[in-house]
Amino acid sequence: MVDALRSAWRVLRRGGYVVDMLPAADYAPRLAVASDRRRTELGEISRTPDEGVVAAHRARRWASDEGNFSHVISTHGTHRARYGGLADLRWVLRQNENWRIDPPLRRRLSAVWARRPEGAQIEIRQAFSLAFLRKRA
Amino acid sequence: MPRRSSVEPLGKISERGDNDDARAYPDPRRETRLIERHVKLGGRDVLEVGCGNGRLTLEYAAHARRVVAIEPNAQMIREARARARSREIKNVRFLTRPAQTGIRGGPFDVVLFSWSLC
Repeated sequence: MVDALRSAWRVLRRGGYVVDMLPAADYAPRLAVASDRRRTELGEISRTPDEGVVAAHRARRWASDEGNFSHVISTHGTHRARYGGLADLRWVLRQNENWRIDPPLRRRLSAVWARRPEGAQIEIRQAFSLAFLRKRA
Repeated sequence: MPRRSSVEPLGKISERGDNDDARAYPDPRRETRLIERHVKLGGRDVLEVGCGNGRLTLEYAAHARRVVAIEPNAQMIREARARARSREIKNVRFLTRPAQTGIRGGPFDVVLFSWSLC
């Protein structure tokens, strides 16, 4: 990422911007079962730090520390993804090998899912981070 | 590194490309709104790094001046090109390039790292 930011500096016009959208580095995804009428929060999915994400956040700080960019603003937000069932959730977990559903959360999920209302889905809420850097001359 | 799934509980994963589940990201309209609170993309020359299948690119490209969008996954680039054609968006060049060598050309007004951990 550091090299990519250096390359970005080279191709930007003076005063141009880097916009960097990343997953939040330190936010545990939250699991819920949700339908149109009802939403049951179940808890956090355990997550070991994602080294790639941590390195990318570090690179942002480097970019302004080194003086190539000035940090304009950072912001963050959350978004929710909904999945149709447990098979989908297992697929998501396979795509995110650093995520783990601990036994207490697994038991809560099983219990709530077993008596879910019609149309309910599994919801995962995640956080993202958005940073704006401006090229210095 | 995400693994490819041997089963496809979501139905059409293979058609979306490797691990390219749009639900894993915020709504691209919301992303674009968030970006444009601070940096206007309209009328600008934009380089997008890690464009995937053009999920976000095609949301803002129509009002940018010119967009170069790079992504190392050739399948996703093919999909992005097809989506751009179907929407008749003609000011975007989708290129199969990794960020390590692909950030070149320009000059650009904005370099957008789109969920890229390059």
